[in-house]
Amino acid sequence: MMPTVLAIDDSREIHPFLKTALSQTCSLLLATTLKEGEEILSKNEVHLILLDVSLPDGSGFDFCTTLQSQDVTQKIPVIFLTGKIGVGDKVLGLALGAEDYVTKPFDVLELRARVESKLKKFLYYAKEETYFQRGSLKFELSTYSIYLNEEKGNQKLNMTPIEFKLLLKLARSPGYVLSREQLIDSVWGDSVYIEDRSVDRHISSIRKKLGICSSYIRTVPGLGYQFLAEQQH
Amino acid sequence: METTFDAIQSIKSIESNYGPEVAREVVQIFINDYPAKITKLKNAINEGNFESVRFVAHDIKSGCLSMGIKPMSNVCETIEREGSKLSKEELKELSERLATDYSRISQSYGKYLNIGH
Repeated sequence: MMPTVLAIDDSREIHPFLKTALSQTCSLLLATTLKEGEEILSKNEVHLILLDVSLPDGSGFDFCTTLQSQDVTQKIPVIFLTGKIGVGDKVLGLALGAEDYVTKPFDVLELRARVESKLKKFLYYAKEETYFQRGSLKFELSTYSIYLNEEKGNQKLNMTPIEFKLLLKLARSPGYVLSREQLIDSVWGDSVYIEDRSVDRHISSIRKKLGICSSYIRTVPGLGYQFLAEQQH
Repeated sequence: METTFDAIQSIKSIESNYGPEVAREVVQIFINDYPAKITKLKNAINEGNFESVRFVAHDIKSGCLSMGIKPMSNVCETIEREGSKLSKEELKELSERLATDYSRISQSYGKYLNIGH
C-alpha cells in the first residue's frame, strides 16, 4: 500500500503540480486550511505532511509546533513547502522540528526525491513501533486500533480516534496522574477550546468499552486520571 | 522588462514538464481565482492593513512563482518585502501593475485554452 502524504497549501494552483510530482510516490490528500488539515489527520493515517507557512487560518510554523506536541502526530515528518525564502524562516522551520524546507517554485524531481527520502526514513522507523502493549491492551498504532488480549483471543475494541489518543496518552505514562488540561493539550492541541467535562465524557465512554479492564483508568479527584494496568497485571 | 515575459511560452513549459492536463488546470485556476486575490490586495492597501497586504502578496507570489509568472511574482515580492516602507500610493501603483499584468497574461492564457479546444 502506498504511504499517505497530506499537503496543506491554500494556493489551489499548487495542487496540480503536487499531484503530478507525487502520483507515483504516495497517496496525496490535499487541504487548503489548517482546519481541513486537522480533520484529515484525525480521520487518516498520514505518513508525511507538506506544510505551507502562510495559511488563511494560521501559521504553518505554529501548526508544526502543535504537531510536535501531540503523541499521535509528533513522529510524522513535516516538510515546509513555502514561498518564504529568507534564511531566518528556513532556520526557524528546521528549528521547530521540520525534516526539510523546500521553497517555491520547486523542482518536481527534487521535491519527489525529498519526499521519498523522508518517507523511507519514517517508514523504516515506524516499523520499529507498530504496536504498543500495556497490560491486556494492545494498541495498533498504524490503524488506531486497540485489542483486548483474552484467553480466547484478541478482541478489537471499538474506540473512536479521540478515545484511542486519550487512552494511548494515559497508557504511555502508567502510574502518572495526568490532568485534564494535559490530556486536552496532547489530544486536541492547545489551539482549540475543549471543556474539561468533554474529557470526562470520553473517559466514561472508554471505560465502558474497556469492559473488564475498565479499572485500568483511575480517577484522581481534583487532579485528573491515572493509568494503572501495570500494577494490576 | 515585463514585455519579455511570454505567457504562452511559460504555460507550454508547464505543459512539457507536467502534461497538458496540469497546464490547463493551472490556467483555469489562474483565470478564475486571481481577480479576487488582486481585489483583496487592493482592499487591504486601501484599508491600510499591512499584515493583510503582506499575506495576500505572499499568496499571489507563491502561486505565480510555481506557474513561472515572473512579472507578477516580482511585484508581489516587492510588496511583501518592501511594503512597510512604501507609501499607500506606491502600493496602489504596484497593485495596479499587478492587475495590468494579470489582464495581459489571462488574455494569453485564454487564447491557450481556446487553442487547446
